Amino acid sequence: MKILVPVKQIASLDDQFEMRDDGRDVDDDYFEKDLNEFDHFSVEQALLIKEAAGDGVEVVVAIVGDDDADDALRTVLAKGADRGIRVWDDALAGADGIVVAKILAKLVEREKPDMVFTGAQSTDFGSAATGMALAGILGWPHAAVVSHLDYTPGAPSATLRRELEGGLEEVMSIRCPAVLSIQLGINQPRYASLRGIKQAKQKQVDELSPDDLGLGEDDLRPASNVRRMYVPERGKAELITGTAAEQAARLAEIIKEIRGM
Amino acid sequence: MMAAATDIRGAGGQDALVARVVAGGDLYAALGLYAGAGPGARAALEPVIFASPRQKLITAAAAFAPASLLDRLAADAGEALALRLAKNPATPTSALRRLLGRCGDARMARCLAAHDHADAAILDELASHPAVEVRRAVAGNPAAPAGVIGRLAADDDGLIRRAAAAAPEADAGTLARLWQTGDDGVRAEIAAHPNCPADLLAAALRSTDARLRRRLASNPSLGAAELEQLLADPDDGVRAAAVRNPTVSDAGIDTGREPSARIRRLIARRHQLGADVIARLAADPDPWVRRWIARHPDLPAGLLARLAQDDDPGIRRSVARNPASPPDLLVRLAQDTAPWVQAGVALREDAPPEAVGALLSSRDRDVLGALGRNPATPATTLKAIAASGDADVRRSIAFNRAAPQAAVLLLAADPYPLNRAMIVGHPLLDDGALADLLDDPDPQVRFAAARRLGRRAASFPPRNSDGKPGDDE
Repeated sequence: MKILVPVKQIASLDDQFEMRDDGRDVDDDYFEKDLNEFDHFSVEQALLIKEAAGDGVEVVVAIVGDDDADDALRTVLAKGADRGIRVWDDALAGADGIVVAKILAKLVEREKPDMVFTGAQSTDFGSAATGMALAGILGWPHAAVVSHLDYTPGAPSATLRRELEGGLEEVMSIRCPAVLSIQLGINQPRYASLRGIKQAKQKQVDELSPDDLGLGEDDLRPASNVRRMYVPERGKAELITGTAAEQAARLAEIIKEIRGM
Repeated sequence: MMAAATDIRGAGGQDALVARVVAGGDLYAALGLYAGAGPGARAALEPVIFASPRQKLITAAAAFAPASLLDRLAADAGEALALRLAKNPATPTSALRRLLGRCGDARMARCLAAHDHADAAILDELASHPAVEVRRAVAGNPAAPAGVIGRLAADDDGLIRRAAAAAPEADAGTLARLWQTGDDGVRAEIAAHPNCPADLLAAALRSTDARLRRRLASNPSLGAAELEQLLADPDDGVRAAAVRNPTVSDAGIDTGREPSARIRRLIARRHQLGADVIARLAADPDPWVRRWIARHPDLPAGLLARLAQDDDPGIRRSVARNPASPPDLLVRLAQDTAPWVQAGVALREDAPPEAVGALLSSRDRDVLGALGRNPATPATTLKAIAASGDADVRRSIAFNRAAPQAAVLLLAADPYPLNRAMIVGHPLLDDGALADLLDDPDPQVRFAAARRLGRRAASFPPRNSDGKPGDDE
């Protein structure tokens, strides 16, 4: 029994930042890299199933990223995942969620997991597309924003709850194998122990290229491209503070400014 | 790891530590060592700290970065770096002066004007800035000198005038001018100002505006007669401010006729209270009044015993925390039905063994956390607390100077990063464990471990001629 957990190393922004010269992204110097918050929960869910079932469950984590992404992968291995896979090629630098899903689909063919758990979305781009696209490519059932899961390894189906609009929850059963996009709060993610961190350095990480997975140049062409990224001009909103008289005076000033008086 | 740990003792200890951190190339460990390092060590650490633009940005924004390092960064700071330095509360005055010369936009100028380390010269220059938000920041900076405040008091902006009226350095002349031109908000600030002229204090005392009298009642330069009048004011807010005034004497406070529970709560928090006032407050119908008075160190044994039977567990907890509570009362409260009350006893270093013993089998996190902090808790219990499944309970060991080393070492290997960060300062954490923490995955742990090891290394005397290491800290 195997659970594949794709994870992502996300980039969070400093409060002050500068754009790259090509204007299509923020300069890398202003990013803080970390494991995607949602992935802490998807990994934990896999580990809980593994611990409940004993040694018969293997948790394999996969990441698409360069050498820097090793940090995120080792973080997950330190929590208790059994082994890791990192896929990279410089041609993947502009990869979108669809390209990542194609790579993950090839990994599913290779690893033959019984379940795939992704985070519901990534905290940097928030597309929530990768899990859905992966299920589509595989032709597997998919459930998004899973907030509770009852699943026994080897069972033909799982029962889960999903968060819907307006505070509604949906209970559904899903045929396995399936791709589940795990929501924040489904469990309480653990911290990696120092022992686990040391052990993680010794755990097996397979480094693969898209070529190793049988993917060619055409497969790696993103379905979408960022044309421009920028900070929109600020609006004209102003918080008017002070006494009623001061506020009235400021309002009068603004009206005069707008009317050109 | 252990070799590095023993290397810090003796003449070459600090050099060995610096060499290890430089070899590791970690920004945070280097920052931890830098503040206490000599010129040679600093020169060795700087390439690690300034290894990349990203690391410079992190350092510029770090409130824990040494001032001399921030000063160096200010020397050739670009726009993004300069803004981080201007926002960083640790940036020294010398660096702020450099940044002032390259102050491109109002955002940067506002950060400099609001900075705690901005000196009179910086504030004087920025007080003439065309952007109103910059001048507002200058007026709100407690370091703004009297001359600058005097100029800003003539500004057209109402918020600047109000900030000027509240400025600690505003002199009587400025306050008098502001009183003439200002609105109610400005006058209220003047009434509260210690430099407020006597005639304006008298005018505020006569004012029909309760907001003005409230601010006046907080003025520490008020005389006894004025305070007495304000303590009898018909407005609750005025009386409350007068009770909070640090110069008010307890003789002037009349609890017997005070109708406001809010004000009686404030009175119950005061230290110098007469026995009759304490007795009256101990029987107050408001539970918050009783809660505060139950902590009063002059509460007699009889009232302590009575409040220990109050229905409100918060009041019983206050009795448990009261240093005047006798041992037999603590033993009784240790068996209270409310864990929050038991935890109050568990925090007491002077709790009798019988009281502590009654708590050892508790499974409540508040009780366990309190026992974990208490140096009187038996070592076996502290070891068990260090191995608790609750991270918050385990962390209590970090605050216990009498925790056994086994418990301290357990916390140094805790999976929760905050617990490791907290234990770094524990006196029983040895060099070996500290050196291990230089490789911790959490940056704040690496920083704290390096800083502590650096201080330890600097504190060791040179080795003796027979090669024996010096004494420990």
